[in-house]
Order: sequence, then structure tokens, then C-alpha cells
Amino acid sequence: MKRIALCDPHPPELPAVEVRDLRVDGDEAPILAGVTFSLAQGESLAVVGPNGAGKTTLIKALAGLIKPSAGEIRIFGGPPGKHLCLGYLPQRSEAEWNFPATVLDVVLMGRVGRNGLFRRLTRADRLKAEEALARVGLSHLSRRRIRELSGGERQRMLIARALAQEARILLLDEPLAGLDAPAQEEILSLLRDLSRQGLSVLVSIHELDLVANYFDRALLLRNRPIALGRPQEVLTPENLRAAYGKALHLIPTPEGTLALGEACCPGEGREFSRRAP
Amino acid sequence: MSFLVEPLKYGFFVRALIAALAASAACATVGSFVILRGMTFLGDALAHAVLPGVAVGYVLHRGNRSAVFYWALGTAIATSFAIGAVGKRGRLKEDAAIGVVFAGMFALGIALISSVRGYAVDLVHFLFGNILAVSAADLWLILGLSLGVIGISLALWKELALVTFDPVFARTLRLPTEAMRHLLLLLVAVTVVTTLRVVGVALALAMLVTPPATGYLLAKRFPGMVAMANAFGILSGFLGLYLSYYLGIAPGAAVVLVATGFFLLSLPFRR
Repeated sequence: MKRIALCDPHPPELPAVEVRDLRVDGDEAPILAGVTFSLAQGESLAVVGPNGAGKTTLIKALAGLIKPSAGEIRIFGGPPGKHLCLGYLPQRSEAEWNFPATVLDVVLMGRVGRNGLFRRLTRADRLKAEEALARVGLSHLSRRRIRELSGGERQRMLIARALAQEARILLLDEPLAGLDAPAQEEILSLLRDLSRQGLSVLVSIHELDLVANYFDRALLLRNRPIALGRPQEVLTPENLRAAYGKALHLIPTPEGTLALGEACCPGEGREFSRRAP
Repeated sequence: MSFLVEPLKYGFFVRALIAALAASAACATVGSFVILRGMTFLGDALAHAVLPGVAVGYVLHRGNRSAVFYWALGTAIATSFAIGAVGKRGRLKEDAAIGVVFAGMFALGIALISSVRGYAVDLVHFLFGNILAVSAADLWLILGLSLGVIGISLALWKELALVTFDPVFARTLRLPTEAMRHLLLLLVAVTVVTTLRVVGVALALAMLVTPPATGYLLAKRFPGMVAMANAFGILSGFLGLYLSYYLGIAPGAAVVLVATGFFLLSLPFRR
């Protein structure tokens, strides 16, 4: 079996993620092309853009689940797909939520990769899992059955599992989908705290109004990168129009420009950004 | 207690009892993964697809029952790999593809067996089990296969549980998820063969699914579910055989009916 890097401490100046000229081909046009960016250790990056912009594809490529057609991805200087440093929360979790397990059981699964085939989980693994649960504020639910969790608690549990795995990079694909506003802010402030503790966090997100408050940088995508930088610099009317095209309506109001976009489904308009004039 | 002891003076009953208990335990363990992964239909298909193998063994080695057994085992393993490959590619939905293969194989088995004159009795044995005819050689095979299946399930416990719960996460942990899918199919195939003698092709699914379903309703956590599945499976095998002895009903059917009874009784207590 291939040796899998266990994510030992890295020199702090080494970027967590480096992407150079990434291209992923679709059936007709490329889903992603010309994507270049890097993510420092302890940095948080929001990936934004309309549906079909390639956000999920980017995250899956980083997680090592799909192969790029061209370009290069480096995770802590090495190829993707050989690291346990990487915690990935897919958009629609394919987890079997009726599986009979407690929250602690699921977080313990994060230890399996570190533990090796045929080995039993130890007391130390259990302590790591409990510590991870404390970091996401779910200690009080550790014996709760997973099917009884709310959407926000579920996301936090999966983040705890990534922490138990000792991931240094968190990749989250639309973690806010289906959550109410307080739960959304809870997840985002948790992610912000974790990035301040040194984790690199990359999140795809539709809630443009929340990006500036919670992320160091934003990457605006529409199959190609439209803008990359601090959220205020990226989320300008011109950039948004370039990314969202007809799906975006900029409405002048007394309070400023109201950006209305179709984040989810045709006909289901959604307010996601307010800008001062 | 004499009613418990009385049947034990017959060698055939003792062998049948041991075979039933071993097969029940293997089924309960593997079946717990099967029902959580939504592989129930696949398990049924595997059980039925074994019939042509049984038939070839039957036609080639008339009278030699152990040979039939090995043919069944070989067919089950081959079918598990075929189904594993079918699921990968092709435009047809997986369950439709399985349905086509399974019905075709089953028909082929019946056709082959019917080519032998006076086949009806034997066909019934293959379809519904013939546990009272377990020979000493059969028994060793059933014991060996059951222990092997349970041993592998326990050794790879946390990996199998993880792949069952969240296959995408298993991939990001770089676990060999494809290999584990094939392994699980193989375990199901071997398990089905252990139950052939007990309940036969047609009812093998019940042993694989009913006790784990009962455990699922009652347990909070996965280890508890598997433990309860084993308890109910073994108890069903035990009570079923005694019922069959005293009521004079077919042993396979009796075992399955007891297992179903436990399932129904557990419904009000589900957690």
C-alpha cells in the first residue's frame, strides 16, 4: 500500500494549498480553467460564484477525489490524495444518517485513518475525539444519536470528526445550505475561530452577505477566476455582474445597492448582499 | 427439560442444530452491514443466483451432496464479482441489472435441475433447505465458513462500519473503499452458502436481513445492533429447529418464522 502522509508539523511559511493553472474538463466546456491561488496556514478563503461555477469541482479536486485535466495542486507541498491533513465535508453528505451511532462514535471515525488496519481504537483516540467535540461545542451531545441532530449540529459534528482526524485543512462545500440564520453564523464563527487557531479553511458559500465578516479572502469563480482578494475588493458590483450575469439583479435602494440573485433555483430569488452606496 | 434433550439423541438433529446456529451468527453479522448499506436486494439476488451452481454440481455429481456445496460456493463467489462489476458501469440502474442477472440465473438453475428425472424433491431441498441431511463433512464446512466470515468482519470492523456509514469520508481517509465493497459482496456470497442447507435459496434472505433488522430497531449503537442481531438469529435457529421437530413443519420455514416473530415483537419497543 502507498504510504500516506500523516500531516506532521509543517514549516509555518509553507502554503497549505497551492493551485497552479488548474483545469478540469467537463463534457463540453471546461468546468474549471486557469485557477491559480494559494492558501496560507491559518487563512480562510470563501469560494463564491453562481451554480455550476465549478466550486464543488474545485473542492473535490483539492480533496483528491477527482483528477485535474491540467495544472497542479499541492497540499503542504505534496500531491493531493495522499494526505490525512485534509478534512472534507461534501455538499450533500452521502453519510447514512440512519446509521445507529452516537455523535462520539462518528467523531471517533476520524481516528480510523490514523489508527491503521486491524488496530483497535485506544484511550488516546477517545480523548482526541472528546477534545475535538469540545472544540466545536458539542460535548454535551456526545451520547446523542446522530439521527436526532439538527442540521447545524450535524455540520459541527463533521467538523469535529475532521479535527479528530487531525486535519490541518478544512474543505467545506456549502456547509450553510439548509441551515437557519443563527446556525449559519454559528458555523461561520466556529470556522473563523479554527482558522485563527492555525487551520486553513476553504469554504464554498452562497451567502455573499456573510463573506466579509468571516473570511480573510474570497475567490469569485465562474468556471474561471473572476477575482481573488479581500472580500470587499472581490464582491464589487462589476465583479458580481461578471460572475452572475443575468442571475444577478442590482437594485438601487435608499439604503444602498441591493443585490438579488438566484442562488438556488430559477424563480427563487434570494437577497444575498447589501452594499453601501 | 426433557423436551429440550429428547431430539438431541438423534445425530442428525445435533448436526442440524450446530449448523443452524453457526449460519445464523454469520448471517446476523454480515447482514447488519447489508441492511445498513441498502444491499438487501443484492443479498437476495446473490442467494438465488447460486442455484445454477448447485444445479451443475447436482447434475455432475449425483448423490454427492458435498460436491454440490462447493459448486454453490464457487458460483456465489463468481456472482459476487460479476455483480460488483455490473454496478460500476453500464447505463442500466444497478438494481435493474441485478434483477436481470438474478432471475436469469435462477431460471437456468431450475432448467438444469429439471433435466434430471425425479428432480422435484431435490429442487425443494435446494429452494427451502434440507438441514436434517447435514453430514459431518457439511457441518465442518459450514462451521469453517461461518467462523471465517465472522472473523473477517471482526478484524475489519471499524473500516467496514466506516465505509458503510460514510463512503466519501472513507475515501478521503484513503481507505481502499472499492476493495472493501468487493470484500463485503464476497462475505455476503459465502454467508449465503452457509445458509443454503439451513433455509435454502429462497429463504436465505430472511436469515441475512430479519435478525439485523430486529437489532436495528432495538439498539442505539452499531455494536449493540450486531450483538442483538446475533442473539435473535441464534435464538431463531435454535427455537426454529425445536419447533420443526415437535410440530413436524419444514425446519427452514420454522427458523424464518421465529425470526419474523421476533421482529414483529420488537416493533413496539423500537428506539
